[in-house]
Amino acid sequence: MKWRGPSALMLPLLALVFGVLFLWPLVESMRGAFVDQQGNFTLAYVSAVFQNPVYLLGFRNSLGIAFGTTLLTALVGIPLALVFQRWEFPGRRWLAALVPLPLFVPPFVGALGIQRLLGPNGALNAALGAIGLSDPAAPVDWLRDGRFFAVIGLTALHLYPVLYFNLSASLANLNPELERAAETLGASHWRRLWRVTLPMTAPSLFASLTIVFIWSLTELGVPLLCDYDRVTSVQIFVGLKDIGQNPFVYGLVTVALFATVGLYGLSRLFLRKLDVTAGAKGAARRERRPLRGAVRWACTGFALLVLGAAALPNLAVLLLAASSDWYGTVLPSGFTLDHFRSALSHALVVPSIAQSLRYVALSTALDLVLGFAIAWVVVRSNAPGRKLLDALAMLPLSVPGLVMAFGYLAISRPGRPLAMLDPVRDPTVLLVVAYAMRRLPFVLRSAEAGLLQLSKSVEDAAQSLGAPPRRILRRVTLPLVLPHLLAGGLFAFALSMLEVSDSLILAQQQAHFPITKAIFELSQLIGEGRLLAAALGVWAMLLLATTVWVARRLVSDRAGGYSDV
Amino acid sequence: MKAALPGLVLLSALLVLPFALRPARQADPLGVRRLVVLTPHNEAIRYEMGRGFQRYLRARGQAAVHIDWRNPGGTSEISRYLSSEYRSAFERYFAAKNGRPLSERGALAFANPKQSLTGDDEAAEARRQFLDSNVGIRIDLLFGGGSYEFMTHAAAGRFVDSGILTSRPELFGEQGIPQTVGGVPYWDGQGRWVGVCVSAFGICYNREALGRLGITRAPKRWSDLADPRLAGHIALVDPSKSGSAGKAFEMMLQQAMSEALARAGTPAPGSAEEAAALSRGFDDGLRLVRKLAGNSRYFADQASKVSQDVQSGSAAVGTCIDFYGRFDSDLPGPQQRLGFALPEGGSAMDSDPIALLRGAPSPDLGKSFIDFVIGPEGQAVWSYKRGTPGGPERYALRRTPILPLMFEPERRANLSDPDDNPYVAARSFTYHAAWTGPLFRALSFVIRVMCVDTEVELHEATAALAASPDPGPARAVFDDVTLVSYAVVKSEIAPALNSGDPLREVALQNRLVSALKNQYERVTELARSPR
Repeated sequence: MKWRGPSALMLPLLALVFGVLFLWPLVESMRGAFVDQQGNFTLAYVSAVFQNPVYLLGFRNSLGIAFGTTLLTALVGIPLALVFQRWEFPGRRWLAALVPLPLFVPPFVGALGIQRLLGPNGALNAALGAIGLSDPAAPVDWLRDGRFFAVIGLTALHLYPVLYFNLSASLANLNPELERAAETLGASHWRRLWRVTLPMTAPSLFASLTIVFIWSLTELGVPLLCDYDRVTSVQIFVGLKDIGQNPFVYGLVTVALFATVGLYGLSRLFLRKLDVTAGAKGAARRERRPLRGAVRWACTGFALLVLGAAALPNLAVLLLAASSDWYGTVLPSGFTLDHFRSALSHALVVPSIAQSLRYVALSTALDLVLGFAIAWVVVRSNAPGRKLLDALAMLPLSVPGLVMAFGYLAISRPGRPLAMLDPVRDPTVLLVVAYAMRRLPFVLRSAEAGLLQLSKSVEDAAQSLGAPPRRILRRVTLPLVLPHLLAGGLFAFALSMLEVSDSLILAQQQAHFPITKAIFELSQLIGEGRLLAAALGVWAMLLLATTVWVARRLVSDRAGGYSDV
Repeated sequence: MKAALPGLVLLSALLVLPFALRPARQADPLGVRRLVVLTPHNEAIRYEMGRGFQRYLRARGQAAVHIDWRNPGGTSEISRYLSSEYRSAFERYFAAKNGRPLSERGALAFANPKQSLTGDDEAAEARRQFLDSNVGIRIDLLFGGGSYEFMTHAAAGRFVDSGILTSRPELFGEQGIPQTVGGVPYWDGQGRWVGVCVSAFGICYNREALGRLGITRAPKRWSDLADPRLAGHIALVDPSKSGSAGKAFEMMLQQAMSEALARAGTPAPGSAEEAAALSRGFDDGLRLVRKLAGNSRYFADQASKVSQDVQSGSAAVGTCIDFYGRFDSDLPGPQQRLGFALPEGGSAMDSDPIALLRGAPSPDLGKSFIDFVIGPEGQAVWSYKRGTPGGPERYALRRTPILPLMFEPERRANLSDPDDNPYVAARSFTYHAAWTGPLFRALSFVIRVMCVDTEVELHEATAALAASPDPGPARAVFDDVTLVSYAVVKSEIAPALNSGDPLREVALQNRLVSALKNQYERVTELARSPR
């Protein structure tokens, strides 16, 4: 097979690049779990994690949150993707544009908005009080009293676009012939859905749910916002602050890492059993079916409900940024543009915008190259070790950003091999690598799903017509997986723009601050800090939304789920 | 391309907007000279102090300086950062000088103040070489934190004498800043660090939220926070994450110890009666802390979160640093809602210092900056109202000045908070370092196991007690602090934490957490069971 030659070279090359950029700093950051104070190997710190009742409770809660979030994401994301991809209904295009909104707000900024909605003096209690459903003298503290479910709800509403976009890309590229055949044979809507559509999209669906599960297992921002510290991610975050005295946090990271890798391994085993070639892409394109009567309005209502709930943090941040005072009322009692002016005119802001765009453009490019190359080796070659590379490339999902950031710091300190990358002097290289590594799984999963759905026979046909491998790649493979790459790339871009942990740790000089660190710095200002952070958050939301919209316009209409963005 | 045009126009407008709104004059011009400052201070302080220092230099005919602010996190993160950076730097220095790598023993000893300087072993040699060296981490100053952290770093040898005590003798001693105030150190006798302003931990409260809970009197004492009506409405800070929060809990215990001593008729120092009274007082203080924690909404990891949450009404009351409470109460609109009080007889005024680091690349500039922040010009930036001549330009920092002359009538009129005089406040409270100072870390550990790690069970027990018609027996179990009493802290907990063995520490933590959980569950069970 002709692919063997290049893949045999690419695999070690990719393994080396990935090893240096990710595994080495990871090992540096975990070394503390296995080395005692005398420098000897020990398993005592890891085993101590299992004897600590607080850590065990945290792990149980994290698992519960991950299961709940995955279930809720599936319940929301699958119907939404089907509704938007299959049917034409009033407001579809406008509503579809709202889908990525939850991804456009950094969790800690969204938190500021959510507190104004769900706090004791928040808008929800004010609204319930106004209609007599809540006692104003004893308001419900939603974020405190129902923290477990609040975390599940907020995480699912933040993450459902991950599932939505992957599934949409998959649905847009499904060969409609099989469904038409089933319809001709008399299969009902539901039967076609269960027996044809969902099985054909299984790789995308399953890959997305895996990502959602692992992400929610290690999600930090939402539990922090709900002050829910009995979860593993928060325990790691808190533990990092006294890491000098507490090597158990390394043990905790190690346990979380093994758990997520194990889960991912199981998901791969399951995925392998799925017959995905039946859903091969074809030339025919599906047209959306127009709906009639009450059903079309039901679709609009459903979409409005889900998207409205998911966009609440965005809306709340916008209202907060524009409020002169918002306390105990449904809407702010006064509006002003002063916070926008103060935030955008701040000396921190302009340089941070330029820096962020530079860091993120480079990291997204690196993600696309690495993600596609790894996916191609994994899906299209027989190279030994490719599955291991695939599993390793998913690891960044399970590693908290803070831990990785410490790893990057450790390998670039003066006197270490990569001292020339010392982030104190200039964090560009490390920030680009850190952003790229953290978001690589999204691009990789998307690229793999694209390649899995693309029948090998299409490439074989080009090969039989005499096209050399490079031409096949350029003219056949890349164009057909472009929607998937675009979906993954845009996720990587948006999430990197809003990356918090790496930015906070690695950007130490004010001149190098990215936008998230600038927002964080503003939020720390006593007094009007939260209002300024919200105002800059609104600006970042608008920038990301417009960027994604422009990107969609500039790319061909074969953009899968993104044709709606 | 045409279809994308509106989006491209909007995108360009969004990108141009911040550039268009950017102020014409930058506060921190890029100069030839460079001063690197490591600080936990926020942007407001960095902005005003940077601007004030340029003005100070201009007035002396000196060229502008580029201040490179380094802000890797809060005080605890910075302490960790300093320790690890100095270790790496010294390892390189030692290997280059001696032609062999530094052993683990040497690495543990070089910054250990208890390490003897005499002897031929590598530990003593490493310590000697470090103190004789100019090993640096390419940073000039550490600016901000608590006196405890600064004393620790100074003892480790990471700071050097800045010479401020000899260059500005009029600022220190009888005519200037006393070395200790109310038992709290304000500057180091060897000039390795000096306090530049003062802060205290107090109580911030939301008047509207208190009113809703039926509380009409603003809290004035720490014990007011034990009110059962505040259950679930107090924002606290985890003392293991914030040194200043640790200080607040230490103040609660010190106040309880002072009161116990007074009740015992102020026995002779060093007597068995005094020791017994102090022990009773410490345990009383722990009971108060437990009640407060039973009412907590959360234990935050950042001190700044509390005043913001109280201001927004997410919590009714919180413990916070004075200038957070003052600053947030100064906001337009909600100023009638937020109040701040220094607890009567229960808050020491701690100094917020600055220090010149060993191996500073620009020591002369560093000394100038220290001279500025502690002198009248810097003190005005800390404490004057915004827009006052010599005061801050953009942000009123509302920090309490450390220089006594700032409270003289001609300057006092310019102060944002003229009534907050640390030298008056210190008269109502004396900090006794010997009582709890050596137990500072153990105290944070106790609060963590007693309140943070067992938060769920503690809240359940508190709720059950409040709902019980006859809480007597349950209350007795709740008030039992035998597991973490003064005697246990001194004889078991502090030695375990000081052993440097993390496994011993975690074993102790596991044991105490399990025992305390059982105790709280027993309280719940007793409170709910019919007599």
